[in-house]
Amino acid sequence: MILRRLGYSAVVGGAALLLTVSYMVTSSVDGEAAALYESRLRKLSAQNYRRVSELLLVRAGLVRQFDSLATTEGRLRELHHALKNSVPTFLRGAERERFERALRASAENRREAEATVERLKRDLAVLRNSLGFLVSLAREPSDAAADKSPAGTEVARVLDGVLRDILTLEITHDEDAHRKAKEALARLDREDPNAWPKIDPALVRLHAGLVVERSVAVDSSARSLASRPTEKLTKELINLYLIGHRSATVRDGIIRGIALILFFATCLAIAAYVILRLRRAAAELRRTGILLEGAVVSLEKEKNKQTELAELKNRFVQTTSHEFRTPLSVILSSAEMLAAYKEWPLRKKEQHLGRIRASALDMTRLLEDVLLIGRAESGGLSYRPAPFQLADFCKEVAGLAGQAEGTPARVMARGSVANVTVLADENLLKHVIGNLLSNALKYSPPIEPVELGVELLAGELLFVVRDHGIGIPLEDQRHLFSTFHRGTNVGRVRGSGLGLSIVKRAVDLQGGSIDVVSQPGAGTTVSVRVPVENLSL
Amino acid sequence: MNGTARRSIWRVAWWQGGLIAVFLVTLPPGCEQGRLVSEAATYETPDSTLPLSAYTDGMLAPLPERAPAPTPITLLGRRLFFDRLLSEDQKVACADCHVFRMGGTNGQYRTTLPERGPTAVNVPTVFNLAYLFRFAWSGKFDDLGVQIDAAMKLPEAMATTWEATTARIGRSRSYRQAFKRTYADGLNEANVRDALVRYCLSLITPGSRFDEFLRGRVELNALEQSGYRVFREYGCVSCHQGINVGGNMYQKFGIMSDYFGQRKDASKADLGLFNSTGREEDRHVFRVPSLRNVALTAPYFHDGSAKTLEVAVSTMGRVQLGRELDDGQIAALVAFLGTLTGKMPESEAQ
Repeated sequence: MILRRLGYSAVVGGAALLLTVSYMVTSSVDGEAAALYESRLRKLSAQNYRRVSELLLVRAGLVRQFDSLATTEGRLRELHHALKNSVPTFLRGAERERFERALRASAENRREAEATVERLKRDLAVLRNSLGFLVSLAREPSDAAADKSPAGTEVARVLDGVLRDILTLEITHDEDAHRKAKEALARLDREDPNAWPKIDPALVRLHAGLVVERSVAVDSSARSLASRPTEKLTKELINLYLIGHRSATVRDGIIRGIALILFFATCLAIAAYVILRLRRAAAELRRTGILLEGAVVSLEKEKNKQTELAELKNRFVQTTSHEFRTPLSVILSSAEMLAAYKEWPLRKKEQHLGRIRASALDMTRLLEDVLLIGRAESGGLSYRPAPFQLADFCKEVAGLAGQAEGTPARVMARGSVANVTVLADENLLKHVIGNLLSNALKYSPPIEPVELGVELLAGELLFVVRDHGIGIPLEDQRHLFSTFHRGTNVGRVRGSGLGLSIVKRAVDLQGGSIDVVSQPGAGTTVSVRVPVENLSL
Repeated sequence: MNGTARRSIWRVAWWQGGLIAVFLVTLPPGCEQGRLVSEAATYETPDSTLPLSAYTDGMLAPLPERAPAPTPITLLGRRLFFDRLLSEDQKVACADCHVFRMGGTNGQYRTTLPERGPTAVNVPTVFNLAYLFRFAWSGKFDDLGVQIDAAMKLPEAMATTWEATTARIGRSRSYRQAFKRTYADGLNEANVRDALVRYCLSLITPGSRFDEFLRGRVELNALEQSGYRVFREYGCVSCHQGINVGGNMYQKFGIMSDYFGQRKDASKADLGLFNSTGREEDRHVFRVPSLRNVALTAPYFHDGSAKTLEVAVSTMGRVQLGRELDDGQIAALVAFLGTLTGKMPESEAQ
């Protein structure tokens, strides 16, 4: 779940990052281009100032050609063109609209100013030309003609007066000068062409009129140019640009920050995803390992069991075949002899019949043991306690054991259990003690006694069976309670290898314990404790 | 955590570090905004090394001593200028109207090119355009490129489009290669136009006797000197001024008397700047033409009405200055104007 979420957030984060970066790429501030644009704006402002100063220089006659003015105009035009064609992409929305509006206003202002400048240049050229004409005229008669004729002197006087009044207008431009200039023109109108020796007064009037007219026009152009909001417009333009630039820079920073955060978040998500995936995989691996280990162990156990079973079967077959073959061969040989020697005396015949019976009994007992152990294995044997006399029980068991082994007197029962009645499973105990005694008798010399000690402790019964027989080798003590296992030192003594197995199972069924101490060649002591209830108290 | 996981985390950290590095390296510069390969053609600036005192009275100035050295672009432009491939029917080249040895014009009153009608105006010169403040007779174009656009479109001239021209040029392998060598983005309309504009702007005619005189290296003869005096004192120089002896302002044709009223064959072109601005004050207003090489560029005026320089000078004196110039003054002025003839650029025809 968390993995999937991490995966999603990595994908979403990556997509958002791509979007952010592409937005940034298309709209971020390109430092170089921005610097170029700003420098153009500043140049625009500078060239605007320059135009004014150049115009004033030209008007004042300090600069006489219009080349640099035309160059400045050209630069202003180009700057506007460039500014219009390269409005930075980082200016967006309302900011861009405002800026472009200001740019259009500035361009419109430039066009109008340019037309004014061109008009001024035109008027100034005419003004200069006519002024030059008047000056040259005035100089000529004064110097040459004046002395020769009174008319020439008069013309010179009139011309000088006109010149004076017109030049005054050129300099002062006040009401008085205007009036005087007009009066001078009127004077010229009244002149008699015939009184003028060399030149038509109408031509003089034309030039004088042009001077007055163009002088006024030039100054009106200059004033109109000066009153143009050029400076304000340019300042506003630069301001709008700077505002846009600043907000774009801030926006850039924010977006760059977001991109960075997105980038790290995406990386983090990817890293976490990978780590979690790896950890999960590792955990899975570990779990699988444990499972495998368990499987291996159980397989091994199974195998051991199989081996054990196979061994058990082997032992069973070996033991039973051996144990059965011996009595069977005894029975067979006795039966054959009885058949062959019918003339044998009765005593001898009975002897053989006894052998046959004993062998059959052996086989029966063996089968019983096998059946018993089968019952125990399959859970057919169970703990069924009932009250019984302990002393009677001991006597019976000892007697039965002695009887079975043919040496009744060898069992020496010890213990103060007369008149003690206990609640226990007599049948199971019979199997236990009977087998132990039978073993003790079988594997000890016939002259050695076997001790059976009985003691009633608190809540439990302790039986001790001790013999001084051959004992149990150390390596066999490990397999004491295995079925069909017999000690390596049993020699020709017959047995099924089931006795101690039966004992162990019977003790376990009663919830007791068994303890074997044995020394090969010195004898064996078996202690059995079973919980009982003393009913005689 | 086992060894494999730890190694994987290191690997992730490596990748992450690498990504961050790439991110930081590529991000901050933003994207490079496309720059124009050819910025707008810049005007040649006047010779600023010259002391101001050399300008005898500050009204006129000499051209630079030498025309700009050819560049790969202007060489390409020259090839285009002389190539009839540029016109739609491939019968006309720029150089058919702008003949170099004739001062960049062709000496005709109205030019009639093969299978075309006569032009509306006299062909103006193609020289010293770098020092003009406006283009065309009326000065309606403020950019030489736009002037060339008009000539390309004009049915009487090239009668074509940039697109068609570029396609025609593109059929020539050598043009394609030349453009590829010269421009980063190879052959396209903008670059064909740019090459022509730059070539035209490079056509300067330095070395006139008058420029040498301004620099104090030669003397003008007496007639020329007296013409120069009249030129200044009678006020010609009020308008024909600056480095190009004209070409830096507008003026009305007919200040002192009505020039157009006297003529019979009036045409729309006579309205001058009025045709493009519609302002009454611009009626009959023209760009003051440059007088450089004027001795070579007969006939004169936008309408080609003055067949000789003498007629033109006389008309100007009467109409613009309000003076009837006598023959001596006219001769002197013509002699002076002859000193304005410079060295023509090399033409491919040579």
